[in-house]
Amino acid sequence: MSLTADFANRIVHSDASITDMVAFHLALRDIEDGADAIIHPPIHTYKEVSLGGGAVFPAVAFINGWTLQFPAGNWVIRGGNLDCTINPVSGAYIERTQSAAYAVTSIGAGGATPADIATAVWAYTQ
Amino acid sequence: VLDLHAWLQDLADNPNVTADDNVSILGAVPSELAGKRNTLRPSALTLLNGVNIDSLTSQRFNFGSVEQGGGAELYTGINTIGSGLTGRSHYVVQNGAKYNSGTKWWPAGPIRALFKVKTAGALINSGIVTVLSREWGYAFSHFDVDCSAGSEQVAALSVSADGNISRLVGNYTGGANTVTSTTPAGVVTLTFGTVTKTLGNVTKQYKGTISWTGALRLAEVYQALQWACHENSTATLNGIAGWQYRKLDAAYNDVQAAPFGTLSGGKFFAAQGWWIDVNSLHSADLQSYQLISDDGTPVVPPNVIAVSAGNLMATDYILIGKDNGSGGFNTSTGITGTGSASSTTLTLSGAPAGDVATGAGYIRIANNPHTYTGISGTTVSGLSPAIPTGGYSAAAVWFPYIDKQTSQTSESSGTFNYVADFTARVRVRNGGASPIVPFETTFPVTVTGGSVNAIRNADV
Repeated sequence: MSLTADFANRIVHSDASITDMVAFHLALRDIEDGADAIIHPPIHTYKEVSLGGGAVFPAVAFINGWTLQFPAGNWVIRGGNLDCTINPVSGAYIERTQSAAYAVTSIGAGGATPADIATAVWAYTQ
Repeated sequence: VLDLHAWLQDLADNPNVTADDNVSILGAVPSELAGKRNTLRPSALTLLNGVNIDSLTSQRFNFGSVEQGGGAELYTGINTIGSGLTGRSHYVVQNGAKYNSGTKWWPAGPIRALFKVKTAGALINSGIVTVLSREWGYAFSHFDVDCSAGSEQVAALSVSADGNISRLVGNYTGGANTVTSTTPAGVVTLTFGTVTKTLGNVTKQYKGTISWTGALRLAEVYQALQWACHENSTATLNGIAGWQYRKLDAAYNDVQAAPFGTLSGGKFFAAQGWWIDVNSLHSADLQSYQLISDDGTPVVPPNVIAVSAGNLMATDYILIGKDNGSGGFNTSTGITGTGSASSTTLTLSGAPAGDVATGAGYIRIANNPHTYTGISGTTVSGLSPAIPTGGYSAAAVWFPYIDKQTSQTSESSGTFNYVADFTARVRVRNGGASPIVPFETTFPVTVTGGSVNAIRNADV
């Protein structure tokens, strides 16, 4: 996962799927503490929700107007919650696993809608 | 002179001249007195009909005045009055020179003697003579006496021991606009000429500069300056003897006790018009003086302050700058910077604000962080890193107070002048092995500076 920040437009660019939310969080923090970034407001907040038994559920939320953007391609976001605006890019398909209920959303031109997924789940369980 | 008049009148009533006295009833009246009790001209004696005294003889009289030669010559008596005069040395300056070439016939003060103020029918220097007491170890005093009316005139002086004089008079030697101190070693130089200088945020015109070597303390500089204008000074100041120096400009008020300025409580209050070369100052005296500009404005050195931050850890990045009031830094300085690639010097489009560090500090140029070693006018020098490829052309600049990745647990800005209270914004971030929740807050910077401690919350 390679992340770059467009400070002028407050956009975080990722060229890979985000499958480890903790690593994503640390990578963002690493960006934030640089000389170029320090004059800009923080990108995100981070929380770890205890799931019991030592397990935690990480949650990242973008703040201060920062957004996330992927290049064209198929990408997934999982491993925790990520609350952010994902900029639409032609040809970019992003599957985001979200919340403790593991809701799945898709951003981009095409892909399954929540209704499609619900229908499929019902069909599978029936 | 009353005795002289009585003696002459006594001769004048003799029936004949006797021995070497050529005055008798047979000759003309030798003298007349304006009136012993004439309050306007008490004891003003006029010698008549060729009777006269010379300068040497005039030294034998100490009260009243003598006019002779049909009003062509006048000796006027001067009487010094005031506090602290007993035993103190006095000298008289007339027309830019010490009277009688500095040879005194009068004892230590207070003095009472006659001085020739009119010759060949013309008053010397309009009849003005100056009585001075500038004895080493004592506060100075002088008085301009108008002797043109004759009679006895008063010179009011005030002398007292100067507790700020601790050196012996032989510790100094004078030169042209210089005084050399043996102990401590240093040379005080007086440069006469108009300069425009800025102290703190006040830009004013001055008419002379006091500078010195040896990082002398102001208490030592004061003594050297007093020596420069004491009675036996051999220094020349702007072409005149130091013992008659009084002030830089005729329009200024005299500072009688100390013509270059007084010293009180360790603070030097420079006389009007004198600029002090701040580079000569001892580090402990940076704020121990006060100036008066040519236009009479008191000017005090700036209050030098700094901002600091604590509770830091190595690899923290810390940025402190002025708050813009809306959650960010005030980066609007209104000036730009221009410099060539690889250069370590940047030229600003205008002088930075008064509360920017002019020693070592931080600067952002086109948002690139640099440090600098000094700012002089519009020149920023010692940039690190050097200006990158492409250079800067009218690039936006601003001046954070701290802008670095620290390796310490605390950081302080370079010192800068206090101009007014302001709100500073601090950001501390660390995304390394032990990330913290980004810390950001504002804090006041006042006349004593400002400080803040970072709050380190683990970012989990």
